[in-house]
Amino acid sequence: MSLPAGGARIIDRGYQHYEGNRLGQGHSFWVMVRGGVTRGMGIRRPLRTKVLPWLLLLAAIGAVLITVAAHEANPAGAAAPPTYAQFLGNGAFGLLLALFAALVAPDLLCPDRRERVLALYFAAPITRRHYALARLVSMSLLLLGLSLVPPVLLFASNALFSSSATGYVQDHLHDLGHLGLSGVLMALFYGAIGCAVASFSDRRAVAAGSIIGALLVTGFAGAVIGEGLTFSGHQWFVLLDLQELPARVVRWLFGLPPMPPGRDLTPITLDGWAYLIGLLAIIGAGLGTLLWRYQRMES
Amino acid sequence: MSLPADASSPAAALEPVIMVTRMSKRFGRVRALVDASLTIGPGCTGLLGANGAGKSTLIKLVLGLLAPDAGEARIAGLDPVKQPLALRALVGYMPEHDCLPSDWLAQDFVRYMGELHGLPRRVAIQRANDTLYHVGLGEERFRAIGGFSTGMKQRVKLAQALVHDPTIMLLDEPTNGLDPAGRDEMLDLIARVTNQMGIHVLLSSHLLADVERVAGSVVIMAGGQVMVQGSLAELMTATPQVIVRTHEPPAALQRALERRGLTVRLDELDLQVAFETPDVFDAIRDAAVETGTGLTYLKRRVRTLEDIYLAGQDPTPVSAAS
Repeated sequence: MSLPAGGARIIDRGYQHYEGNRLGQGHSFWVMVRGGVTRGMGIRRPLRTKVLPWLLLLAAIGAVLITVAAHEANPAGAAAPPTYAQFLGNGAFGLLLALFAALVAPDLLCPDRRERVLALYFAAPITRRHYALARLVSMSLLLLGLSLVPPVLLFASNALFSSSATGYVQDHLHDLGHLGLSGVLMALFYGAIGCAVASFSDRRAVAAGSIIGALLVTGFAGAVIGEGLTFSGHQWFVLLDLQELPARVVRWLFGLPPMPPGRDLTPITLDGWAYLIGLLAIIGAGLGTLLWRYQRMES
Repeated sequence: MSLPADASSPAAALEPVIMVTRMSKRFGRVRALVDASLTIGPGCTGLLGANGAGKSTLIKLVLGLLAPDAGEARIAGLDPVKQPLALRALVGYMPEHDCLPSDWLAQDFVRYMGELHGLPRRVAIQRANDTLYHVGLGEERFRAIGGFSTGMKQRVKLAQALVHDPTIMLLDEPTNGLDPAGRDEMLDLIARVTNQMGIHVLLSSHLLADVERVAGSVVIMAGGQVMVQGSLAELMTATPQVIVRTHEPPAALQRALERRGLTVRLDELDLQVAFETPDVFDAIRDAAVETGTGLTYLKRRVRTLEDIYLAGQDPTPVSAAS
């Protein structure tokens, strides 16, 4: 093809039809998941939407780095870095995940309903089930970043500052597996609760308050009924304590008793499996609630 | 996924784009659509009706967003109940109400909708830029939608319906909330979509003028029923009447025409003369000369869309053939 004379160029090619391949439903699903992840972290959004999610992530990473650095700088004076079970089973870490879920899950779900964008999404080749699942996967992936990156960083620091990094990794591979499993379970747990609760409100603030409220109320109810009372079968009520449930599963996964010793006013003898099944049941219930809400929702 | 034949091929041009057969839908005790049957051909078709006539319900049924209580539909050969996802990949939908996320950039949102409809990311980015340019938002595409005017938002809604190169576009009240200039521009864009881009359009509106300006065919709905359907050319046929408007009071002319054996009716200031043979024009001329009446208007009456619309509110459904 010859070059146009005198630097002439085509400005407007007119409307072009698309003759290429149209990708399927799986592609649309992952587009929605990717969109949820970028939205959750405030990417290509105003600065105010980026601050809190990044702050929470950096706080979790910062806590690990500061503890390890302080210990390495002054091994005698500073406290030793926490064990993996101590780190993941810590109430502050659970609170961090809960805050992140309360911040991001409403942001993923509420504006789409309030601004009626669902009418456009449901007119695209995706189903309501795909939409709800994609939002849950996005939320869980974001939480996975928070529940995996800091403990893996702790693992890497421990390996780095041990006498033999490769030896440490070889000796603690099982810990790495437990870290991965704990991270996935915690991400799914807080993701399912966050999305399920957020599906009941169009307003972000109401949904965020409801998520935190649900965790506080169940935590209080579980502690009072399960640990404070002594009627037959009272101990099953500790499974209602959604604040503590993931930490108890994590402790059990790392070979510790699910309930910290001396904590319970009346003896709790539930096996770790009971906590794990309770956690999976909560994840299932959250997913079921989310799908049910979106199946009934008007577009 | 089976794709329909190329819309620009001669075979496709003959096929109906949308076929609805005896479709009904109730919401509780409200009958939103009652035994509706219609056939929509290529080009732009207006879906006319007052608020609550069942237009939006029909569009949602056709798109597979609602399940019908009875009846069936075919859009580009696809069944919205059995193949909703394949169908939606080929359809662009612009809802009546506000439906845009305020904190997204226009380009990001249109690109995202393209990807959701199955376009690869790179193609979606390119087409989002092109489409926003075509709807007149080339310069504003990197601004947040929340800061847009109503007219700009309507253009973004049109762009997101267009980005994946649909075969058919379903536009629900696209001129809602627009000022006269914005309405004009939106109708020009819709005309371009049909005439230059070759995309079939079903334009739902309660405004006769909008439909008359861009549509080649019309479906008129009232009370959930299809009352009238057909091409505007067929529906707006000449009626067996000649309208005569005079400079002076028409009484003398009326008497002169009646003496010539013509049937004449006075409608306000106009005379309506029955058109039986083309000789009627000669008779009117001669009668005007005889009575010294000046003629200011003489034309065979053509049905307007308003006539058709008003006739469509009658409970007996009619079609172009009737």
